[in-house]
Amino acid sequence: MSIRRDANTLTSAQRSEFISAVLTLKREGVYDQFVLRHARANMSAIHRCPAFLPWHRRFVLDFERELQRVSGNPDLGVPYWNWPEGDSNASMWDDDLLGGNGDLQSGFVLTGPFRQGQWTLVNMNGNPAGSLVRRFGEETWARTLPTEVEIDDVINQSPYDESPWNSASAGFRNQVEGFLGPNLHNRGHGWVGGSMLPMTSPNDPVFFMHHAMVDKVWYEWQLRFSSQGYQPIANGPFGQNLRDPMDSTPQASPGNRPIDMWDSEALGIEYDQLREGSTIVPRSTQLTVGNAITSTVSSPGEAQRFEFDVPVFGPYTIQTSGDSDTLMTLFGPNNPNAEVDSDDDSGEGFNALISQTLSSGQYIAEVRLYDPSTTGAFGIALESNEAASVPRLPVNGGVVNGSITADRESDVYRFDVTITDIYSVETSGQTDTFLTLYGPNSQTTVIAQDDDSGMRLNSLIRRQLSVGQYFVRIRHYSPTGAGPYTIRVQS
Amino acid sequence: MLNHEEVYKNIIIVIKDQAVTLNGKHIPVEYNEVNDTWHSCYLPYSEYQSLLLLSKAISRESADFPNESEQ
Repeated sequence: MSIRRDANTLTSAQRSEFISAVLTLKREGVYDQFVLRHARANMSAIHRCPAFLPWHRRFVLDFERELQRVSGNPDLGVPYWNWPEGDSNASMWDDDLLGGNGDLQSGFVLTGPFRQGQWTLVNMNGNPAGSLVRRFGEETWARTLPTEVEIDDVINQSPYDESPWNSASAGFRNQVEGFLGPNLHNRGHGWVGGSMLPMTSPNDPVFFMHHAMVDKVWYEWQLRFSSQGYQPIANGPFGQNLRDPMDSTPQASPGNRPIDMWDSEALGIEYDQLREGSTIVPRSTQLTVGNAITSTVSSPGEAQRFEFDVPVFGPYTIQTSGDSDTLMTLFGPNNPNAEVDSDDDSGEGFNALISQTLSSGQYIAEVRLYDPSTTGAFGIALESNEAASVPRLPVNGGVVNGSITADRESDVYRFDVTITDIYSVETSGQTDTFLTLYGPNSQTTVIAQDDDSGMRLNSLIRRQLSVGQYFVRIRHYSPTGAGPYTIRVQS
Repeated sequence: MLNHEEVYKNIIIVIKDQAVTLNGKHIPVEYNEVNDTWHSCYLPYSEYQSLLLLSKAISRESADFPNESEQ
């Protein structure tokens, strides 16, 4: 867990702990590796593009983990630079935290722990490159810091991003980045000026506080638009799509794709306070085995999330139904960022279907429409698919013998239909049987039931069946009845 | 813009056919047609009205071109 606090509210002990950890990372050489990771990344793959936000979320998170390692405090978070309260008079620029503005002539920072002589920058080659420079508010395009009203304006933008996925895009990402609208992120770099302007900007530790604030704004946007997802899913430039690996980002946990960075809470990030109106609402609907739910994507780009528990290890099927072209991703167990599987059209028509053997735990199925510009309804159902242990009935292959030996006992069989045709499922013998046919690919969707349509007290179901797997449940008509039977399937 | 050469903060700026070099090092630049501005990966957060202004900003701010003030 990383607890991120407003930098201006840190106690003296918290300031000391943070600065001490930063200085330790600098001594270890780890700090400069972060500078180089940013500086050597392909700038157009991490800025002016959709991955701007997830890339920097991972970057700050990795830095935070290093701070936690050297401090021994697993909750230590990067303080955030609360821009509206963060001008040159703010306490975060005091000597016991960041130090202040640069010298009026040279720009060199002469106060605080990162002052000239105490803190040396690195250039892109990793070589020493002089002292830290700050020039508060001197850039003509960044005289002031973002205000609360401007942040609110940006948080109200949606969707997340839009084609052409660059600095001309409409949507939230480009406005928070700053190439459109009131300009939040770029303006922060520009307002500090000096060492915060080039691609080696992490040389100034305020970089991480600045991006903690950017990340907070993104999180607040995610709460505001809790059903909106990341864009693009699949049709953007490589490195920018939901499941593309991001540039210059380690593959190690928690992953290097935008999808791995989407759920801030699952990543263990917590903010001391959120904007007024930001409420953490349940973002998923509960799904239970055997109960289908109908849902609607009511605005373009929405992603609907369905949560379910798997009590015991076993095979499960989750599938959508209806006319919408759905795209489904399964996450878990107990980790809403760990992708298990995804599917587009394995179900009927344009529906998604995921069949997986799942360990026990909590899972989330996220459903979107394949075309993010459309809206529409869909059904979703979860089935415990114990097919692996269900005996198979041969089609046109003779009879199978079984028996009902106890009160309320029923036997389940499965058979596969490979050609659409009319099929009959029939019992024979002296026992009064009752049949239920389920499918296709479902142990809970009833197709037909029959008591005595067969010879004497036997059951017979005749139906045209499409390609898929079907299940037959056979029981005695009487809850307390028993006896042997035979069953067969013929086309 | 027209071809241009000058020394700015001890750094030799050469602009020729919309290609920029600083102290002989090629600087990737891009033109933003929408805003009629120039930008470079060296200064990822800002855009400039001309190649010369961009070149001077890189000379002034980039840690890869330390200027005379601390040498």
